[in-house]
Amino acid sequence: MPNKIMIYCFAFLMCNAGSLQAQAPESYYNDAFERIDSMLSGKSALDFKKAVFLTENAYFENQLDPEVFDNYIRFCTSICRGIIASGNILYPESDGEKAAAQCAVMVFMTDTIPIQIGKDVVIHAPFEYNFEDFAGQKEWSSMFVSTLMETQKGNCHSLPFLYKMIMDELGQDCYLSLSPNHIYIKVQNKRVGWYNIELTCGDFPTDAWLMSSGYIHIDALRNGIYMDTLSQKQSAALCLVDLAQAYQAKFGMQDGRFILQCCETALAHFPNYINALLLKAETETALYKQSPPDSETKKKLLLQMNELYTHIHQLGYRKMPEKMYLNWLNSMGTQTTDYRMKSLLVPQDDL
Amino acid sequence: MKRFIYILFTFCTMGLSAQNFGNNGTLPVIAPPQQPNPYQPLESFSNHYPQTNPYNPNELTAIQRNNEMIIREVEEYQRSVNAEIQRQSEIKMLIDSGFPSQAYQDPKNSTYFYQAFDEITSMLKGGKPLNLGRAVFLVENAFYGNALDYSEYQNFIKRKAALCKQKIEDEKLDGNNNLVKNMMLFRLIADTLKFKNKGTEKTLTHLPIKYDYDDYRSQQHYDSHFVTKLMKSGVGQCYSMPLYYLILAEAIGAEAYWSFSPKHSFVKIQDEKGRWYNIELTCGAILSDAHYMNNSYIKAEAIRNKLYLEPMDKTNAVANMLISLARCYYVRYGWDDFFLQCVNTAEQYLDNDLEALKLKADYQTYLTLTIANLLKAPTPEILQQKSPEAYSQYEKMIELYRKIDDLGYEELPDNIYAKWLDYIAKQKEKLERNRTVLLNEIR
Repeated sequence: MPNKIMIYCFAFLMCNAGSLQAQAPESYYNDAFERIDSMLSGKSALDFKKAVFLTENAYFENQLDPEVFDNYIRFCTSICRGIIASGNILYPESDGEKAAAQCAVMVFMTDTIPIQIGKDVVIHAPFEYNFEDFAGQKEWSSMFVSTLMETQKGNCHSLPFLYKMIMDELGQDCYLSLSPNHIYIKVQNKRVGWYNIELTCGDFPTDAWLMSSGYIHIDALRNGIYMDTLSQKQSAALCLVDLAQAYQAKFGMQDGRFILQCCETALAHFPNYINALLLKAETETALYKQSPPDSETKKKLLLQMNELYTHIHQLGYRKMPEKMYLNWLNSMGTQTTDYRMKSLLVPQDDL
Repeated sequence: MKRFIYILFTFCTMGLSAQNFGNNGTLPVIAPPQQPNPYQPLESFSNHYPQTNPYNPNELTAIQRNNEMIIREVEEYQRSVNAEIQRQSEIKMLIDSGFPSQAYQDPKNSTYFYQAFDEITSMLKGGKPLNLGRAVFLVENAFYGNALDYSEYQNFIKRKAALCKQKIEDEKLDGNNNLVKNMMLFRLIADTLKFKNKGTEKTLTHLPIKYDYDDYRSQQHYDSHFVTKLMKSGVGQCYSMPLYYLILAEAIGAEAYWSFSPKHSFVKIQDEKGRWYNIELTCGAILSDAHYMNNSYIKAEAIRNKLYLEPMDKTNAVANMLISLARCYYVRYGWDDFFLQCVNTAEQYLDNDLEALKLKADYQTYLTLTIANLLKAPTPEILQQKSPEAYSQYEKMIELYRKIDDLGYEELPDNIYAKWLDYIAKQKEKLERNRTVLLNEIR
């Protein structure tokens, strides 16, 4: 009976407690904002992993240990390297290294992996989907990669983020991609061309399926607000909106200034980032409702709101009803999708 | 080689002079010298010289044979020199200016291609109003060597347009409404319509255009995807049916757009609220965007780069006729500068370069392979060593394929296409089984 490996160091993940003097909780968000902003403006190097860490660390009020966070990613990467080296991935084209990495990380995250340590064989269990709190409604940190590290449970935010971090560590191209209320992975190899990886259920949905079932208007595709590959910079800009949402989850909207600042900075670097546009519009709507009747601000906000919602509609965004979203999540994995990609995976018995 | 020629020449003169001596026989006889000639070659040496006894007739033919052989060799060499010169000049010509004009094959009929090109180009430049019906006619007429009658073609369109208008009036619909016009046109092409003839009160039946299961890929006859063929036969496929629709839409003043999906085309129309609908004429249905994406395996990149499911306006449709003209020209005469001219001009007016790039890549690939073959260069590396100029043609080819890749173009997976072909085959079989029933119904 193989032992189940317990990820050893997460007791230490939040070990910085007490070592720092008390700081106003909001200031952590400002720090994170400054540092991600400097990445986006080119003052410091773009680093997706760091941007994610900064966002999560702000929420935990600087209690996360960057070393532990990094070590975990390195640990995952080393297992993936082992899977690549195992020779179990059969791929006929010349870009084998790339395809093997794509496959290995997928297998690592969604499948049970036996690992030989000395004479023992230990098992790394696949990550699970957090059905209890998949949208971070009970606890915002359910969205976090650090939570995924600790609990082995993630969602469509933390799972693709981890996939991308491992691929970045392996030095292979890998892109986040957006669909309504959802993030997934897009990669490309010679045999299949571009394809999608859905980690929440370990599937390879086709674009047509994502589009028809995911409530995506064709204009949203044409304008690239959904199902496009996100660059390194766009991925970091995404973290700014995550930061704003974490802020909102903790403190509420407040005067809206921090949230709008995050949205606008994200939009400066990723102009059609739909989630930034939506958060901005929602915030402006809330501010509009708060503002005194017949005031100048109210009129101005109404004008801005209308403009923004029109823009969002023209980009092809259509709001998906929540029930529909849940059905959609549920249907994933039950559909037959791209067999060509599936055929690349070695059957479980052979591993 | 010059040495050979020189030797040959001396042998000839020797032969001739020896014969003269022999025939006359009047010259004084001189006794051969008795003492050893110091200049006489040694025995061993003399063996190496040709035995040239002029008095021996056998000896003579041997020389002649020998001479002839050398002449042949020289001629052969000359031929090979000429061939080499020709090869070199051919390579230079191909590298400098591509394939030469092929119009010499049929000087009379190729002019119809030029005329079609000029007229369509002037439509695109704005010199003449855009007329898709005319553009389609020009292309098909060029292919048939001016055998089509334009007024007959126009009358056909006018008759169909009149039927549409009559039916709209009969059903008391709004004849100025774009959607009404489009829907009537859709019914005219995809449905069986009955008309009351006003004078005689007889009922006329108008039959739909049927799908051409026999040659939908234009493999048996190149003209199987022609609109004029559809008009003549009442059967069409996914190229001729949408084009036919658009020509009729032009005639009745309905707004409709052409749109492509992989190895397929259809019609897009818009309602008053700006919503788009896809009219699929091959099966007479209105289909969703997702249906095309799913069935033809279209990826998000291709949509974003406007390769597929994009409504194409009239300029694009007319520019596409230049692509069609290039294809027809290729079928008639092969690759040359006119082919490229058509493609390049079309590219200037097309929002989506894919078709133009694909044709250019075909041309460039054939050109590169021809040059590489002439240079006897089996690999790109050898080609580069042998001729950097030729290698630049290879690079040009690679660049074209890179551009096509950058557009997000991916070939339809074979299994998906095969599945579709299989479906078509089954449909055809079904149709053939039910043929008699169908005919009875129509009567």
